[in-house]
Amino acid sequence: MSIRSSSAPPPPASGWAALPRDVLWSIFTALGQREVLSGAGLVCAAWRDFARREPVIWRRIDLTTPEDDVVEEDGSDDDETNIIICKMEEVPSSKGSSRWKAMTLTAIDRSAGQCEAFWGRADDEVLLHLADRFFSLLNESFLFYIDNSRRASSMKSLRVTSYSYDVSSKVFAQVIKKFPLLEELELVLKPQQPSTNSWAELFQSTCEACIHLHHFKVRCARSERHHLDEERSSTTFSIPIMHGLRSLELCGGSFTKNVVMKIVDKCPSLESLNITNLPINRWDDQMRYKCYKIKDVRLPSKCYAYDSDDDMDDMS
Amino acid sequence: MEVDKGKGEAEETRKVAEADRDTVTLKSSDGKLFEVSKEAAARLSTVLAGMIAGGSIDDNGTDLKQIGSEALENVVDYCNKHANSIPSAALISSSISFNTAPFKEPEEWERKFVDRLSHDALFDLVEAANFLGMERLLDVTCHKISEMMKGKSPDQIREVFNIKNDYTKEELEEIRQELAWAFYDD
Repeated sequence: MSIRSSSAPPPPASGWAALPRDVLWSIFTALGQREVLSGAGLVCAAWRDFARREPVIWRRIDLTTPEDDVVEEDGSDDDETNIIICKMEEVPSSKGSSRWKAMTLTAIDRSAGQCEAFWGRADDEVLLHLADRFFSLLNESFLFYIDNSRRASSMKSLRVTSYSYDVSSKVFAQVIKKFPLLEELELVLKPQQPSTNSWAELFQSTCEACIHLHHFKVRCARSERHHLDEERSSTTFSIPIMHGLRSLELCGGSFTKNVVMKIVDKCPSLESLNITNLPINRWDDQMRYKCYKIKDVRLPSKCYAYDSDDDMDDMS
Repeated sequence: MEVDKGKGEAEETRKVAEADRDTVTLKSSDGKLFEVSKEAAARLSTVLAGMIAGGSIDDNGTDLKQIGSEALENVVDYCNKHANSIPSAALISSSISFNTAPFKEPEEWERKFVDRLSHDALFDLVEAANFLGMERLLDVTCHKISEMMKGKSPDQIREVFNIKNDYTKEELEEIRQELAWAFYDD
C-alpha cells in the first residue's frame, strides 16, 4: 500500500501503452480515481508506473460516490457494489480490511504529501493517515532542509462522508491542527449510533486551527445526544474572528441559539447560514437583527418568527 | 479541406497573397497539404500560435513531420468546425482552484466528432493534439478514451485497446501484495 521506490521504470512500451504522460494524465483525470485504482492504473507496466509515481494525479483525492451526498436514516454500507474489482489472478482473501479503506489509503499514499483536497469516505484511521502523510515525510532526510513554512500541509478542502462511523472528537481535534490552510470542511455523517460529539466544540477547534476557513458544513443523519450541557457549551463557546468564513451549515443540539449568535458575531463576511437542522424554534428580533446582513438564511421548518423579549429561551 | 497545390502555381502570386492570408498551410508527414484558419489555429494550438507569431510558418506548407495525413486532416477539420461553432461557456477558461474541475464536458458536436473515429484514428489524433499543444482537443479526445475505459477491468481495457499485459513476474507479485484489497469480498 505504500509507495515503493524499488523497481526500475518499465521498459519502453509502444502503441496505447506508450501514450505521453500528459495524455495519460488527461485520461486518468477524466476517468476518476476509483477507476484508476481498480482498472486503468493496472493495465500495463507504463500506466501503472504513472499512476503510482505521479502525485499530481492524487493531489485532489475524490473517491466520493453519488450515494455519499445522500443522508439517510439507515446506515447502509453497500457503496462498494459499483467498484470494479480487478481480477488479474486469484488471490486468497485473508485479512478482513475493507476495500474502501485500503483504496483510500493507497490514494493518500500516492499523493505523497501533496494532497490539497480529500473528498470521500473516512474514519479515524484515514483521517490520521491523511494528517500524518505530511509529517512522516519529514523523516526523510532531504526534507530536513526545507524551511518550516513548506512543512505545513497544503490541504485546502476536506469533505468527509461516513456511513457507520462517528468521527471522534479527539482524533478530529488532533487532525484539524495539521491543516492550517483548510478553506473548506464538510462532514456528512451517518452514524449508526446517535452521535456523542458536540459539533459546536468541533466547530470551535476548526476555527482555532484554520483561520482561512470559508466554508463549514456539518450534516448528520442522527442528531447529537441531548445530554449535553447546554449552558456550559453556550458560555464556554468562543471562536476567533473568522474573516473568511462565508458559508455555514450547522447541525445538532450543541448549536444553541446563543452559540449561533456568537458565531454570527465573529463571522463578519458570512453570506449563507443554514440552520435548518437546528432545534431552534423561535426567530426573534435579536436573531433577526444579527442576521440581517446575511444574504441567505435558512431556518428550521418549525421555526416561526416570534417577536419576543430576549429573556425568552429558545427551545433547544 | 485538403488543398492540392500544384507546383505550377506562380510563386509571386503566392507570396503576395500569403501576407494577408487568413489561413495557414500545414504539411503532414506524408507530404499532404491542408489549409486551416489562421485565427482558429492560433487560438486552439499553442504550438501553431507560437509558429505564427514567430513567423516560422512556411508558405509552401509548414512541415509537421510527426503527424500523418489522416490525423492532420482531423486536426484541421476540428479547427475549422471550431471556428464555425458558437463560442460557449465551456471554452472560457476559469481560474484553477481546488473546487473547479480541470475538465469541461465536450459539446455535442465535439462528441460526434470523436465518436466517428476508429481506435487507430483516435490514437493518432490524441498524439497530434498533444504534439500541437491543443488543450481543448486533447481534453475532448481523452474524455472519449476515458469513456471507453469506464467500468472496465484491466483485462477488458487491454482487450479494447490491444495492450499487452507486459508485467514481469516480480511486478505481478508486487501488484498482488500492494493491491490485495482489490480481491477482498467484503
